[in-house]
Amino acid sequence: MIATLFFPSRAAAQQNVSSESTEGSTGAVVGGAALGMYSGTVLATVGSLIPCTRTYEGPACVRPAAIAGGLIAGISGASLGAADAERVEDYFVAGVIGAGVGGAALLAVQPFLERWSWADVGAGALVGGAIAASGTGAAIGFGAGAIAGLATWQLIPAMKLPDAAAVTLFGLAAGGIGGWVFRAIDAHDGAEDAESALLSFTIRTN
Amino acid sequence: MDVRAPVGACASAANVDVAWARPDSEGEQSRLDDWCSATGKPVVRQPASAYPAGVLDREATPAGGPVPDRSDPFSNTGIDPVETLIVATWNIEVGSGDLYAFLEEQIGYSCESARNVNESRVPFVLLVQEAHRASNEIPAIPEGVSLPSAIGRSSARASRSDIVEIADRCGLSLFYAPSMRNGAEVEGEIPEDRGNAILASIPLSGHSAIELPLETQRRVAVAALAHPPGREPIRVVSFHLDVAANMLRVITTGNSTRLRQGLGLASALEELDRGHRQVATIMGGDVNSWSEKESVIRHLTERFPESPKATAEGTRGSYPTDHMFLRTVEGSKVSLDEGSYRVVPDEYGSDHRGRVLTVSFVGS
Repeated sequence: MIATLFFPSRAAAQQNVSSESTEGSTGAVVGGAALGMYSGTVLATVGSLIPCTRTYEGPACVRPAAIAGGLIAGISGASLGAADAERVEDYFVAGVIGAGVGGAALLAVQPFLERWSWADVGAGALVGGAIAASGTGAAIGFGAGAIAGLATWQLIPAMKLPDAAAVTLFGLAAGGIGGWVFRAIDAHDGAEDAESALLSFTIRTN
Repeated sequence: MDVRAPVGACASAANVDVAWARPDSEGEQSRLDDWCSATGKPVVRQPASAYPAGVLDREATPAGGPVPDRSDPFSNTGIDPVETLIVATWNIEVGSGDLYAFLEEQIGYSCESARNVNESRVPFVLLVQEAHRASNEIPAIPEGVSLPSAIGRSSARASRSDIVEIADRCGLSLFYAPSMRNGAEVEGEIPEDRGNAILASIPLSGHSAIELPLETQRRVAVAALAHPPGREPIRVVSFHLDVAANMLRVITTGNSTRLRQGLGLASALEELDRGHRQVATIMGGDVNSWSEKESVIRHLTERFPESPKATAEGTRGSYPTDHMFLRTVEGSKVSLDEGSYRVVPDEYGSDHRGRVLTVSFVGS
């Protein structure tokens, strides 16, 4: 017997109609758009913070980046929902888990912060949810960004640790938003969702 | 910014003739007053040794006492005009930095010999951040007021002098306005507050305390008119911006913390200028910037167009956190000495290195 803990509808689909293709729905289009917009907006904000702080425009430069990120991921999310409702459901659940992890992380570091408030926990949840909802794209982008950032930090004397952090966060944002685009393309091409293997927890008995 | 007398908890600080500027928002004012309620009163010191010979007789200003706000009481006094003025800025990490050594080695000012009024004096202004004052006159901490952690109490320096003691010992003019309490009350220890200060070997007048827009901690910039002997006064400003706001505010405002505070300070200075004759302004402080290209530095440089070029040279470790800005006015006889802007090579016990520049006076 196979029981999927987090995605029962997917488990049922795998058990009963393994060869049947998935379908979209109006609700999934709206949900995918909302989820993508939220995830893309937060990721683009986080990714543009440090670079924008070094421009004359400052915060005014973060705003268009956030809008662009939200639009790209939102449109991709809507497109994904039109092709495969189950994937939207999966990414939503992943986002909820990520929000819990993000909030818990901010709770855990409370003893080390001079000033702390529940707003910080909310912010941790907001960011955690956005990252988790964007899935492997954000993870790949973060990893690539971290490697590139650390390498340039070590190789170029003028680069400092915040520059490495900026490259890392930019990678996270670009990877996450790019991930939404590739998800939508994959769903329309009928390709299997590689991320479901990472998201699903299966328990086998007998 | 609202330029007016302090209200609320800060009203108790009006023991000296200090003009106050603060954000317009009532919500911000209320929270600023909470921070203010745990601090003592601003300090103005005007020792006899800071005055050129003959000025005191005319001005009859009591040494160590309050100085009324007069726009230009000290210039054109018939004494030999000075050629240059040294201005430095330094975050002294709440008593950790050795100011005596800094003054002697970087400015050429010996506190030991400074008590002799007749000795030739180096005209200088030192803009100090994270100055502290220890005093039993600092009020008890009101209930419910949030306090920052103490800084500097575990300093390696055996003799940790507060800013008032330093000014008295060195015979310097002082304007100090606390921004916040320096940690919670410790039994058996004298209460402390901390904030920005101006130390000068020349007279100061027109003292102004500017509460910056509240982001994380209360920050009070201090401004005053410095009077180089025989010259027009120059407004000098010491300020310190927040490091960062909380995570939610960083995300929702696009990390506008330091830009908002910097622009608030610039606006307040413009309002102060509106009420007086316009004078050249030199501003120095701890911007808490990671890069010399940060938006707040770009905006302040635009508003202070004669500023020395912001450099990437580290003043806190490898980070260029401290900067100086200069704005002259039409017909001004002040100009920056090219090549004089430098980072002090030693921290002198603080966690920051200072910056120093020299301005020259043109004509007589």
